[in-house]
Amino acid sequence: MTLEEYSLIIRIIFALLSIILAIFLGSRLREIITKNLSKFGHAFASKFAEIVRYFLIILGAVIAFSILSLDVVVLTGISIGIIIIVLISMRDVFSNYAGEIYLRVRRPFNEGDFIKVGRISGRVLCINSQDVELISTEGERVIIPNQFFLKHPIINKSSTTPMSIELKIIFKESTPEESEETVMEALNEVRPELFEDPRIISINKTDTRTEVNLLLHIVNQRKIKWVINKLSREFHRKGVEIEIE
Amino acid sequence: MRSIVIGGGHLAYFTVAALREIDPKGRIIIIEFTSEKVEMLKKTFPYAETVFSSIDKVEEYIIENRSLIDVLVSATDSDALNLRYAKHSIKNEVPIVIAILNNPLNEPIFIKEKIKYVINPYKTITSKVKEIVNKFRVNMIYEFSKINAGIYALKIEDAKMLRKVQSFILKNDSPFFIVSVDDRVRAGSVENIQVGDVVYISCLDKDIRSFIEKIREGGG
Repeated sequence: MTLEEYSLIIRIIFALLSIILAIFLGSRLREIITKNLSKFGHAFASKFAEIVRYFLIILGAVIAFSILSLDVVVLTGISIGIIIIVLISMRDVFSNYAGEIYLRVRRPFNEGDFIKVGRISGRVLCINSQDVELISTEGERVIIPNQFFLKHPIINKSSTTPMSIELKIIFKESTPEESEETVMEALNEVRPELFEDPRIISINKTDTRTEVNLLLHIVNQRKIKWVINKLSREFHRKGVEIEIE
Repeated sequence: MRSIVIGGGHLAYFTVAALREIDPKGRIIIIEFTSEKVEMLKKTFPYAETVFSSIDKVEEYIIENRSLIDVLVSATDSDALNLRYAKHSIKNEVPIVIAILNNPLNEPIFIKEKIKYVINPYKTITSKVKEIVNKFRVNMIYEFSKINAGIYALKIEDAKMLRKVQSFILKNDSPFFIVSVDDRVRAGSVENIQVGDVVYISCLDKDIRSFIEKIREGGG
């Protein structure tokens, strides 16, 4: 056996060893990560551990290639190129995963909490790997990519459940006293559906109209539309012309 | 507030009374499966509405009214039904879903199914017995439903336990009061705690768990 052949065999052995070591370390690290991150959810911990494992295996493979003395510069270039392409093409996916890490570790809200992020308000239905599902105040299901939570401030209103809603009712031809009485009568009709007694915050009289500002407390935000419709019907039944904002 | 109580037994009785106290002007709707019980419920709770329904029609009712239901309490005499209705209500995005257990051994099943609010009416039996007989080291007095915290009684059996409790209170800055051996309530600083006292402390679950681990390890 020539010296070159002998050297090649040694390099193959070391290359195999580096791959085996990477696989072994990846498996061990997967167990450790899964165990330690399980407090953030089993699925999340497994996924994160799996990413780290694959990263180590790829690292082991690159080391193996370099031990085999294949052209390291070319290999490194190809590897970097592949990584950059993957990162660019999947930047949103990775960004969403980063968002998930933030949501799991920082825990700005939990499922069932009422939150406001950007212009969107709603109750959190579930937190997924790529997105968060909300039920908006209009009763629509809204799916928000996790990266959105990295870029916008989050207001968690769960501690203030039930939610408070301000309504402005504009009476076109009515005195403040008449408006207040009419509003109170109409509110009595919807009161059983509210969390507690609604409150008139202010009554403002302008030249031609009276504005009544109300504060209502509602647990189920999908009820808002129903309450507004019910109030409108009540005013209509009384023959009062109003606008609700 | 519109509250739905499923079931018309003794669990429902306490639930309806509590809901009435919380929101006297709110709507309470009781769904029951037997006509005789419905008649009885009408007399017992004149302020509540009663709905006579078959077991399999309840889900339809929830779907039809899901945008109006604020609170749903599943309080039938069957845990299987309670779990079924609670899961269905959560799936239909009812904001507050509460299940009341008949058999405390079923609690892990409800937790596994992600029912956030599970009431185990039997949970106080253990702590009450321990408190009355006055034989315990750590006794869970109350467990909060919305936060992972509770109120615990720690019995100071010896100087070692005294030191551990004092250091626990100082470390966690937990609010507490002391009950002397003659059942007198004392307030004061950690230095006032004596051997023989029972210290009632409010703290996070994880903190008390690590404290219990420590006293187990120390054999105190």
